[in-house]
Formats: sequence, C-alpha cells, structure tokens
Amino acid sequence: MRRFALLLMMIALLSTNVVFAQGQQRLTRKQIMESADKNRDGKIGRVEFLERMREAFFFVDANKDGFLTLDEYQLIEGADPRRFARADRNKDGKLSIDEFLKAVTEDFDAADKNDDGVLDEEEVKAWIAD
Amino acid sequence: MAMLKHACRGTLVSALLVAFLLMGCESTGPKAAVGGLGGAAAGGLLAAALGGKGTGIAAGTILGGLIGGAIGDRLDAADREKAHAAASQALESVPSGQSVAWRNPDSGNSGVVTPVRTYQISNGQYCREYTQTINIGGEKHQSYGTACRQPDGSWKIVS
Repeated sequence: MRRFALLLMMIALLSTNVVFAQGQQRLTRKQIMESADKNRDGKIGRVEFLERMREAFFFVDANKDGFLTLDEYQLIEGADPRRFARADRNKDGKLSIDEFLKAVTEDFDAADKNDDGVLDEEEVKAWIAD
Repeated sequence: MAMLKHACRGTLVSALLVAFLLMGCESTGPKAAVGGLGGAAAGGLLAAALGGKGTGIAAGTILGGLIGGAIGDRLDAADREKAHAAASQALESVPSGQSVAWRNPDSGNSGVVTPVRTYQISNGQYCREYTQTINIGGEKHQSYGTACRQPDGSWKIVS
C-alpha cells in the first residue's frame, strides 16, 4: 500500500511541467530529450543521462564548492526535501557528486520500465510531461 | 492418506508460491521508485543542464595558455582579450554543446569556444573540456583543451 502511494506520488510529480526555477526557462519535453540525446538515436542512454546530470550538478551548484546544498537543490522545479535527505547518505546536509549520481541513477532506472538501459520516447513521455 | 499427503504438498507449494510472490512485491529493486530525487526533479535537472547560466556568478579570468604558439603570435591584444572573455563565459555559463563566439572587427579575426564535457576531479574541482576554433585571415585553426575551475572563480587551462 505504501509503495502504491509512493508510486502515485511519483506519477503526480512526473506530470508537472519542467521548469528551471532560477529562471527563466520553461522547456518542453522535446527540448530536454534533444539535449540529453547526444547521439541522436531518439533515446536517452544511461551514459548520456549521467553526462547531462554531471553538467546539471555543475550548474545547480551555485557557489561551485563541489556540493549541492538543500538551498541550491530547491531551485530546481520538482525538488523534494525528503528525497534530498534520503539521497544524502552520509547525512552531512549536502550532496556530493557520488550521492547525487546514485540518486539520479535510481530515477533513471525507475523511468526505464522495460529495463533495456535506455529511455525511449514512450518512457520519456511517461516521465516528463509537456 | 496418500491423497491427504498430496493435498498437503499442494498446499505447501501454493503457500511457498504466494510467499515468493509477496516477497517479490516487497523487494526494493530498481523499479521501486522510492529512491532518487524524483522524476520531476530529474526533469528539472535536465532543464538546468540545458539552460546553463544558472550561477549568477560573473565569468572569471582564464589562466594559462588558451591560445599559444604560432596562432597566438598572430593575434593582437584585442583579439586575445575577446577570446579570453568568450572562453571564460563559455566555461562558466554555457552548457556543453553550445558555443560562445567572439569577433574583432578591427582585425577581422574571430573565434568560437564550445564546452564539450563537464566533470569533477577527486578534490571536487570542476573541469570542462572544450573545443576552440579561431579564424585568422580566413584560415581556421581548431584546438581542444581542458580547463579546471579554481577556488577564486578563474579557469586554468590544464591541457
């Protein structure tokens, strides 16, 4: 039951529009898909995804100290402090790049419904609403 | 008696099967969707990576040999200044795959700097690989390098 509630919560989160809260930009799913799909095969592979996430970490880390604080993380649309706390495995109040990549890999795996290691158009559609 | 034994065995198998299925339901595999930062946040992060320029921190200076050797000798001070400003902006604020161009109308020289990859090294320092194209007198010169961000906000060319 608890898992079902969490799943519903996740679906609700996935249906929100993607906005970069610092700014200024409201991006469509298509734009995001294209940005991550570096080899232009119409899918987002795990390596492509993690490469974009390393980049995201750099841009979201406002003071460039190599860690994401909760304040920095909360500038992202859809940020959930409880998830931040869970991702902060050593409980030091900030996310290292390793903690961050572990967490977003779990997101990738959750979105990869057929476990083929890539997110196809349907999986991305189910993941990010326009 | 034999029938009873058979029925018991059947019940046991069914019970084990149900237990196994329940165990499967309770497992916290990759599809459990209980970890991670959440799909919406992941989408927001991808948007951040695409949007770049998120820091609000002014681009710093470039340390080291952004343009060296014979190519550097053919650029004047204004060219160099513009090239450094473009590189600094690209490294600090522009997502990989997007370019910052510079042009000096007086000399006619121009260039483009494009970050191609971003990563952290073991001490937490950020490094970015980049490509650079410089047009001097109609000739195109391409190079590839790596710059790492220093604690003071400057970018040091390391290769």
